Amino acid sequence: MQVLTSGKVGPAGFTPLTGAGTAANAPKDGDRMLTDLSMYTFPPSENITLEEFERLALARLSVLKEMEAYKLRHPNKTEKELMDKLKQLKLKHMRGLAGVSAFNHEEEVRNDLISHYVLRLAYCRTAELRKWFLAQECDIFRLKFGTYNPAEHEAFLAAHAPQYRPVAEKELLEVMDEIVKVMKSNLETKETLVRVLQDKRFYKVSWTRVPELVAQRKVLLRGGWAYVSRDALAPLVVAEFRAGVSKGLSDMARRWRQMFPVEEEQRLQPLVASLTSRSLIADYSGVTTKYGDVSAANLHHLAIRHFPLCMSHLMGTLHSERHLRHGGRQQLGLFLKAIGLPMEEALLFWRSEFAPRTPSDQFDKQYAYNIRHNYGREGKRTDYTAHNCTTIVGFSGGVGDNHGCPYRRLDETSLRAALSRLHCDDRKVEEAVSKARDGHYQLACAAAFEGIHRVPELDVGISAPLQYYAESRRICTERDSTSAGTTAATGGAVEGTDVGDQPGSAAGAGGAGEQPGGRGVKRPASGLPGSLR
Amino acid sequence: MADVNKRQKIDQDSGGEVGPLGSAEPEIYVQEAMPSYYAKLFPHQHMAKWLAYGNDGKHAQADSHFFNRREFCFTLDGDIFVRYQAFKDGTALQEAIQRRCPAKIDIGPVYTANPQDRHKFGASFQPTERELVFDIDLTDYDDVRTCGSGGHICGKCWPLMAVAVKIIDAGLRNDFGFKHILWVYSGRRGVHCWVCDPSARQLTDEQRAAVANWFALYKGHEEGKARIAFLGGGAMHPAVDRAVEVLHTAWVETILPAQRLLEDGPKCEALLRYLPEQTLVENIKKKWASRSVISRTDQDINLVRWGVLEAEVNSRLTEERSRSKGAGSYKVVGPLERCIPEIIIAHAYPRLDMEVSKKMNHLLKAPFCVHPKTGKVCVPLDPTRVDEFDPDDVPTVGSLLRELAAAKNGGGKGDSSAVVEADGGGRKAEPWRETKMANAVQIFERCLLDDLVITNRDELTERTRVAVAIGQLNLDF
Repeated sequence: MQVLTSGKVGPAGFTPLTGAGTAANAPKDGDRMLTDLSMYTFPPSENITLEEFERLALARLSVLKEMEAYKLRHPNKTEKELMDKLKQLKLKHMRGLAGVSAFNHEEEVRNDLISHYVLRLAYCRTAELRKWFLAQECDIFRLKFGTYNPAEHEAFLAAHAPQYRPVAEKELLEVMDEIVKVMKSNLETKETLVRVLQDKRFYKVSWTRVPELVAQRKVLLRGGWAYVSRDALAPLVVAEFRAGVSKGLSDMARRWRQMFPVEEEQRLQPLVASLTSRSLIADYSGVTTKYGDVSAANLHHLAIRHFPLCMSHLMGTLHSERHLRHGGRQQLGLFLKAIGLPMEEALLFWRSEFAPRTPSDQFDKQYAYNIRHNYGREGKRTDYTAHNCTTIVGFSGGVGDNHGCPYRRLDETSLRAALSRLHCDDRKVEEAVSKARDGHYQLACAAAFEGIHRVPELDVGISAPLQYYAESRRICTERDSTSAGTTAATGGAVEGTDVGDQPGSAAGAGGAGEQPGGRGVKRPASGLPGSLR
Repeated sequence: MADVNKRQKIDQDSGGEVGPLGSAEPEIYVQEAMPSYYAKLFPHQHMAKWLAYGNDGKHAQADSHFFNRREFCFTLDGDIFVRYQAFKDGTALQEAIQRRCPAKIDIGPVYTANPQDRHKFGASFQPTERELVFDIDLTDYDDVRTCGSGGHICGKCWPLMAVAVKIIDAGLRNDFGFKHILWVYSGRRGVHCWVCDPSARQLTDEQRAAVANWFALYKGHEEGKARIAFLGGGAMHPAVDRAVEVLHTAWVETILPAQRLLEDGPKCEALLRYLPEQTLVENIKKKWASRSVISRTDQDINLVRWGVLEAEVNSRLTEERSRSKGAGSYKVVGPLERCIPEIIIAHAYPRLDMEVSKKMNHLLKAPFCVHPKTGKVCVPLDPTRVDEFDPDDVPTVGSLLRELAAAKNGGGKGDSSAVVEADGGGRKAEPWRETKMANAVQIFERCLLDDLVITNRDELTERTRVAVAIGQLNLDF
């Protein structure tokens, strides 16, 4: 497959993988058209642009990740519902990527194949990546195969798995009695028996392909052929799919150096390598302009309302200890920059927070430079971006460190306490805690978000703190604008309590929301009483 | 049981008298005979033809290094194992055997490289091909035979081996579709099976284990009873069904009376434990003690008793079924239905040595070896005539050498005119053709080699076809 930069005829791309067969054996395009289910035995062979290369890969990755998140949060969905979700996701992400507006079947198949192979490249390098990719692809294959009707099954098998031969009627009559005996001897339920007898579709396959069934005498053998019912076929086909993809992945990893000729080291290779850690959500940089009211003054309000737990935890620790270690300063500092805190405000904020324990000149000496460096005003002037969830979850820390992902770091009691302080709905607290226990930290964060904001399910998982913040602000802005005009009695001071909208220009349409009436912009003195816990 | 009279030097004239064959000969004697055995009796060329699998010819697709990648293991006198022996071709193998006179020759797999170079290849030195093999040993049946134990074998327990051969052979051919199957007497108390189909040789360890498990019903002992791998459904697997049919015939015709399992004694008590109901057992015992049974002389007592047992079980079954209108409570009827097949299977179904079959790199004794303790030759068996095989009448190295001597003297055997002279066609002298070895080799040819040669040819033709398809051969027209 050749990858071109747009418009230009570029140098040859990476060498295509040799599949199991030669050109003589590769299925013609016409065969594949019958179904969009594929074993991915043969890699695509065409030229595409670099953009499309990347876009297809990210699209498929989105589908895989969102499907995974969906299944994790809804463990009891039926096959049909999952299939619907899959179709919806595919429509959302992989539609019309080649620039063609009409969404036709041929294109779907082509995109499917290309995106699969590009992701293979990205996910073949380590065992963990391979395991994840294989698990997702197998789940999707199993889902698709399970929901196809018999005619589609036949077409698929004929095209992609010819080792499974349908048993002709005449032959079936001869062996049917024995097949029934085999099933009875294996304690198959009556329902299964009835269903299989009605279905009457059997396949025979060489016994060498189903050794585990042979070892347990679960099949009828005749002359080396094993007879399997259509029911029994699915796990076999899925197993073959898994074996094929797994082998492809390990072959690719072994021949990694041959995949990329020297010219591609700068072009394709970094792109492929970055695919696995890429944030899949839209760029949230617009948040600074949209909600440009962030200043040192209202940070605490914002923190309670809109920060994800990782950041609000840091804010809390900072406020109570009057200090944060390096890891925490970096994590929080970059986040504050990302949400639009200007550098001067940042310096102000950190200095005032550190003030009781750190005299001003010491602050200048030890910490100010770092803050300026983060904003790109010192040294090599790099504009550092805030970390995403994957990175944050991966942070390691010792005692006394507060950075990293609290769903991973904190024990359950502390987690529960922190979440209830943020007024998260109890049920959601439990959900978040259990997700955290199972290691799905980002889903825990999403559950917490839903609990705090009282929204029904978030479609997308949380993949960066910035995303949490942006979504949170968006929701509150929408709520504000819809409930504009409702005035409630004035309440007390800023309690970190109820649904609050922060003061400031972003609140926009003067609506007081559910909140005790318009508060002025308060400049919090250092040491705001108890509102931040 | 050394018969001192037999301790005679081999090349002495025995005056044309061919002494009684078959008695076990002392070990030292056997080892002294090996040089002559390998010089005159061992069918080197047949073995080479077999193991070359067609690669010894001049065909373009023949792999001339194939033979060289096969491992042989020699056990020299004094239990010295020499592994990873490899030879360029059959001639080299023959020379080595004749030079070193191993007490035992084992055949291993064909590797990715010459076994003698294995250290150069490290992890990439792996087995690539190996026949599918089985080993059935009478010692594994010690709990169900009364005529002896350990290394004992006789006409009374041989039927156990015979029925095992029949069942496994039928299964390999009908269920798995294998064609080139060689059964060999293992020299003392069991049989080996070599499945030589090309597909069989390529099987992975997992697939070999699958085949072994397909035939495995006996899963060890529990509470004094054999555990049979029945799931206990309403039916048995058709393959097991067929096996039980074969077993039932053998059970009634030979095994039961020969082993006298129902005569009073511990074996009988053990057998009765398979019956699910104590009342049933008591009824049967009562009937056995009855005059009508005791007075029967027309049939072996074991068979009479078995008849009674079967009848009692069946009548109990009928009673139970009619009680609950036809089907009967499955909890009661099930065990009743199963107990008779269970008894037969527990006592007679083949008991494979699973470890031998599972791994590609397992070494197995070659056919035509001589057993160092008994002197018996590991002769091939014809599975269709396995009932007639007499383990006490197997040619021994001593008896064969005596036959040779007799033939040389011009006495005894028939028209031995063409014995020791190489004929004009260049065929080397094959003295063994004058002895019982000829029969053994004939079985080897009939059961394995003849058909194998045809398959080998087909394989080579197929390789050519594939090569052409890949375009590696340029055929210019």
